[in-house]
Amino acid sequence: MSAEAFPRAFHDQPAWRRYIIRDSLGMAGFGALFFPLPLLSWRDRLPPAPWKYVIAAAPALPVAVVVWSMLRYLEEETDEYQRLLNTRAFIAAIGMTLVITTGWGLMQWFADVAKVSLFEVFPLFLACQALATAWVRWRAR
Amino acid sequence: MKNRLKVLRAERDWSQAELADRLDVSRQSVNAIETGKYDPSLPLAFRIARVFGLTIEQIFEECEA
Repeated sequence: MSAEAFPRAFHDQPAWRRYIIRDSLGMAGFGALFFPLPLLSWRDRLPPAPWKYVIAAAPALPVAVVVWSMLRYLEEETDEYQRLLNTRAFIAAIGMTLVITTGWGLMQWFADVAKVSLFEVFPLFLACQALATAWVRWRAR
Repeated sequence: MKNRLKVLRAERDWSQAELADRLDVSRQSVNAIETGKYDPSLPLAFRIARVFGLTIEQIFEECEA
């Protein structure tokens, strides 16, 4: 079969593939650095300061990788329509995250809802990004 | 902006996928331009014109305000 028989869909775009790989590495890195923390803390195995701070904050670095992968994607994508759709999805995900965290933060102060840790914002953002991407793709179908 | 992409494509018996391949974009992009959901940038409009061997004005037409 020739290449023409299998045209590129959005998920076959080289820039999108690279984005998915980098994004997945960032998420995996977050998981790898985050999940040992509760265990280390519970067993009282965290080293004294300043290393305690370094180890506790280390999962924030892969978050930077995820943000960097989004920026790189926007620079590398040559299909301008796909770039537009994914820019919309990124902005919608950021917007959803801001609305939810601001609303929840205000409810924590004034309405006695459960306290949520700030590090939970990142998994929330990933969930919002998945929803926003699906929504943008559905609208563009 | 209106365009004659669908007609021109049909005249050449090209599928959306074939045109997308010639333009080095995804099939969804060709579909979005054809259906008027998306107006291409000037560089992409030039690429489309080159693929059909026409001028941009022969393919795209500005809508009345």
